[in-house]
Amino acid sequence: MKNALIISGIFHLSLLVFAAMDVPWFDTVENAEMQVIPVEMVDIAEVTKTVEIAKVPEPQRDKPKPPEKQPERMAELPPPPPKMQSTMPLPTQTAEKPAEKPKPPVKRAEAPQVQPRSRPKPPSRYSADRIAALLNKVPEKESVIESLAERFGPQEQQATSLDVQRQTMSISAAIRKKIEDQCWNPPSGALDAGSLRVTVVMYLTPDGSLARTPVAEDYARMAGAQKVAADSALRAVRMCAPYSDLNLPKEMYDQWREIKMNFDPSEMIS
Amino acid sequence: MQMLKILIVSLIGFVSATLSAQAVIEIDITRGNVQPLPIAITSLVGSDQEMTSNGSVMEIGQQIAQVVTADLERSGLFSAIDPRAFINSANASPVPQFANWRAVGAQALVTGIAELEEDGRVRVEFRLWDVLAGSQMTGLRYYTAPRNWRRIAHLISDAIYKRLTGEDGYFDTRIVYISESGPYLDRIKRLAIMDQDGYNHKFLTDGSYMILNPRFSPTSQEITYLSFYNDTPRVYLFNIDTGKSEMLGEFEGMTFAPRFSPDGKKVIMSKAENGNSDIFAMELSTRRIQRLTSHSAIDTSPSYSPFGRYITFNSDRGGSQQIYVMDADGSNIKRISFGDGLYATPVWSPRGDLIAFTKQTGGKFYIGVMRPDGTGERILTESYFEEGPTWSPNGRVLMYYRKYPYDNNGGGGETQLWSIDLTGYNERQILTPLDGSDPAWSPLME
Repeated sequence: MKNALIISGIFHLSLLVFAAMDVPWFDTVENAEMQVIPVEMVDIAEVTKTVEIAKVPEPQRDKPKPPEKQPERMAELPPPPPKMQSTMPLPTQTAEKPAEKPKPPVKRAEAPQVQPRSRPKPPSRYSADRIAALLNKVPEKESVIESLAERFGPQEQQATSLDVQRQTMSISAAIRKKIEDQCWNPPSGALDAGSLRVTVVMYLTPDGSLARTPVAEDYARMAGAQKVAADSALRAVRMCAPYSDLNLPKEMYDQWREIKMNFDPSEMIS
Repeated sequence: MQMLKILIVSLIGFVSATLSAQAVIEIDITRGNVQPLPIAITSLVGSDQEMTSNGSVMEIGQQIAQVVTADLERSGLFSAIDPRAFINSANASPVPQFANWRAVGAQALVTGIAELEEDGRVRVEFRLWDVLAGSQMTGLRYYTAPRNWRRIAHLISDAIYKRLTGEDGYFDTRIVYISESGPYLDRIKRLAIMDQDGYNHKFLTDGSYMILNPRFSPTSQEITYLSFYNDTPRVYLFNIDTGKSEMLGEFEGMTFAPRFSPDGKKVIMSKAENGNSDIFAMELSTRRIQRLTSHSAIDTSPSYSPFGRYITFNSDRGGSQQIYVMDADGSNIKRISFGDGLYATPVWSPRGDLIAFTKQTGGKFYIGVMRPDGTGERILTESYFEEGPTWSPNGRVLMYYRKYPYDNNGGGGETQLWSIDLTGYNERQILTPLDGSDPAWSPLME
């Protein structure tokens, strides 16, 4: 009888504990899910800001490195002067060398832009270009990891679906900002100019330039003011190209090789 | 078990398909910078050996480019790139080197040629290019007598404007206005006409009698106006091409503020009898006259809507001068202006979306626009005195006249023509040989 009471008591207590802990927990999960959508919307702006900030440090981090190296080389250079005690012309030669040496890293930094084009040509035999391209892959990967680390911290280097979602948002925010700030000049003259919406699809290469002609949906059927609105959207997409300055993450190229843009001037022109 | 496998595989396939479908990034672009479009206009290529009565064909080509540049710049929607910055000089090659034009910041490019035909006419061809896309947007060819080169330039401006803004142009148009001269108390007022850019100026009357309220027909090169010929104010109809004028009937009392209907078949006006004025419409073919308002208040300044279904006018029937709208038969009268001050000279835009007006309040005059239901009132310009807005045929620009106050030294008092576009920013004076008032914009010429 006592045992039965204890067992019953334990069961009831565990039921109460379960009810107190689990049931409300389910509730909060549902609530949390409901709230996710607006919170994500707010995140876009935050991500935008981090992208903006991240954009500036990236080149700075790359650049500070050469200066660091330069001092080292400068430190290395002093030894030569003792050697050239004998002749005067030599100092100028040695002075030129340090100037030449810092250049190669700059060239290597430019080369990766060409490299993707050389990739799809496996039939060609190894060439100087190809070797250079191979060499250049290393810094490229490093920079991608660096940029990932900057944006999301080292723990999140493994891409989860949330990362992809977040990064997609930062990609679209960066492109949106560039086009809105620098390139789109909507036609304001037409009657009902505010209602002239246009959808343009842009195709990018991995280095951020236009892979082919951007397309405005239904362009062939357009006339008059609608066509003028489409022209202004196409001009904006072309004006802003290439998008290499946005440092779009190359490992996510599949996400941004094709971008759909809805140009809507209704908020600007009433 | 097999079924479960298939189900799982298809589920995975479905999920990955939806994921890859989401992979295309979609972006909403909702902001931009409304700026004048940078355009490069090259001189039309022509030979300096081919001589016409208006100089060599090369000179005509250069002058056409200058007029097109001035037209487009005056619209405020384009900024012409200084030809001194051009990397390419004008040449006859059919396809331009777009990289060079992109380098100077051009987004649109105009090229063309001018050649003398055997019959003495000049053939003018132009092409408008999209520099960024590297494609032709439009191209047209004209034949004309060399002396008409200026009109060809305006036609080219209209074609470029239309292709790049989506609206009809207004450059191949003319302005009639009242040219004023002489002292304040003995003003000579003559009817004058000029191109919209102020060129080809001509006086149409000699100034021996006063002319007021000139208005263009929207369909032909005809003008109505109020003439004080023989000291009797009457509404006349004047044909610019033939130079003939005729009186629109003899009425008791005074007729004024005439204006054509959109189809050009009627003239609507005010008629004053015994100190009261009402609105009447006259059928031009039959000269039949129809009374539209009958009220003890002063009804005046009538103007039709673009399809002739409604009429806007001003009236003091509510106690102060305000703008009203009624059906074309005079029924259904509604007041639409409710702001502070007095409203006058309502004019319906040719594209129907707005009514322009003169407003007087706080010792100043204003030109503004409002929607036909009276909402969205917007003031575009203000000064000591300005009045009488007239619309460009595309409904984007207003011309009006402005009078400056007389000063104590007997100076001042100038009367000038001004224009402003609907943005309210691009305000410009139209230069006239003497003082100018009461402008009226023609439709596009045929």
